[in-house]
Amino acid sequence: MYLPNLKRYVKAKSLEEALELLLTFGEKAKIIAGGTFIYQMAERGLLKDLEVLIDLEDLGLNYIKFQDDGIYIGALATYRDIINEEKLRRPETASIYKAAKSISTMQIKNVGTIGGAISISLPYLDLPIALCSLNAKLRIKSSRGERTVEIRDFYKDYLKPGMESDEILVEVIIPIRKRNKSLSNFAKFGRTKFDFALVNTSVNLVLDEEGRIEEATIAFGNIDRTPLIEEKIVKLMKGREFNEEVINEVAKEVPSIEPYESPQAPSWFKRKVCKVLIRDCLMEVFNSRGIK
Amino acid sequence: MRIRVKVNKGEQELEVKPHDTLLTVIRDYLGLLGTKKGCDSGGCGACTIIINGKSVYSCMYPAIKADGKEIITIEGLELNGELSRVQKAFIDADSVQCGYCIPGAIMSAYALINEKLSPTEEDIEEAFSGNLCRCSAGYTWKKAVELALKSEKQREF
Repeated sequence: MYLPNLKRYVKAKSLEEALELLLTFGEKAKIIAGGTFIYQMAERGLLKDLEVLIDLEDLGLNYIKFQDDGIYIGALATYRDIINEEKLRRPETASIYKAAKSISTMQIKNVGTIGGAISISLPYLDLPIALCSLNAKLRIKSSRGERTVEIRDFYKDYLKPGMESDEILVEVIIPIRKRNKSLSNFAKFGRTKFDFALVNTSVNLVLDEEGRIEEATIAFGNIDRTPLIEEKIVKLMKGREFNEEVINEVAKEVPSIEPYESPQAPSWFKRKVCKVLIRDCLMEVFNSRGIK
Repeated sequence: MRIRVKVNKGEQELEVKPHDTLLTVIRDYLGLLGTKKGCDSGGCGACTIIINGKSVYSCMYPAIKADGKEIITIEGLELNGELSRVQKAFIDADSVQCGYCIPGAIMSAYALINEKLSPTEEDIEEAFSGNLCRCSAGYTWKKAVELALKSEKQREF
């Protein structure tokens, strides 16, 4: 790895030790989880000043816990841990499972972590989009204390998460309020099945007894420089019956902003992909209703 | 820093630098040249090895992270001087052209077979998702996995 100034690689024995090291070395220290992004950034010469790497692997943060009020996922749970957890394949969290499944290659899935994918803050990653649609919360710790933040308020810009240099993301909380009425899904468009997304989308719907839409959250990735949550669409959907007509209307309305130009595709193309993708994603939910 | 790793059944104690990757350790420190350096940026899969039963890119795996773990490289597959069933299956299925990607591909196949005895077509595709073959021999890897599984089942009887 091209880390010319790296002096120490510490496998932290406790979270306190990791937080203290972060406080002492500030910008010169970085957290390493799976290490895939650290490697990619190092090879691009972006971490020339890095002196300390703090590995969180031994802290036992790779759990996935199911409780009455939600699902608690440790920041060090790998994509593979998420795929292997069968309880996450239920309709209310299917988007997380699908997002983890579509990430990159097998070798990356085996080491990449949910915490890494969130805190790197890149707009085309899959897990953050799925988590945005599920209104996930992030538990962040520092030596000053602890705070919980909504994932939709977390992102600032490309490679700029809403975290100070002395903070560590320790846990992702997915609130599940209406277990039997929530439906979620994730869809992605990329050059190949295992490539990064050109556009990805995730939806979460809560239906009432009559099949009307009670709540809806729709998120898009790689349209804006941070995850895009479509608020306007939600107003259009609320209270209406969930059918093909609504789905077509939604597809017409998105995305609400002009997509930024990617090296892989111009803005107009991404806009078109958005419309097709959200339609497919919602139709899949529509067709699978009742099969639980 | 000193690390202790188990490489192909033998314990090793090594002095490594903080920025060393596991690929550097395997090729340069241990001299196990079966594991190849391809793109060196986590995309081609020629450097695939197995750590604690899971396939990973050794080119982007920090050496110190491997401390206390169990590593299998392509050299560790043979049994008493004979090729393993996965390696034999790759030969029988005619899955090799230039051969550069093959050590990595075999490690991915080995990880898959050790985990699932009856993988679906999708499982096989996913297992090889991180291995590139530019000679197009990659299309026959699926056949190799099926052959290896067959020989595994035959041995049971």
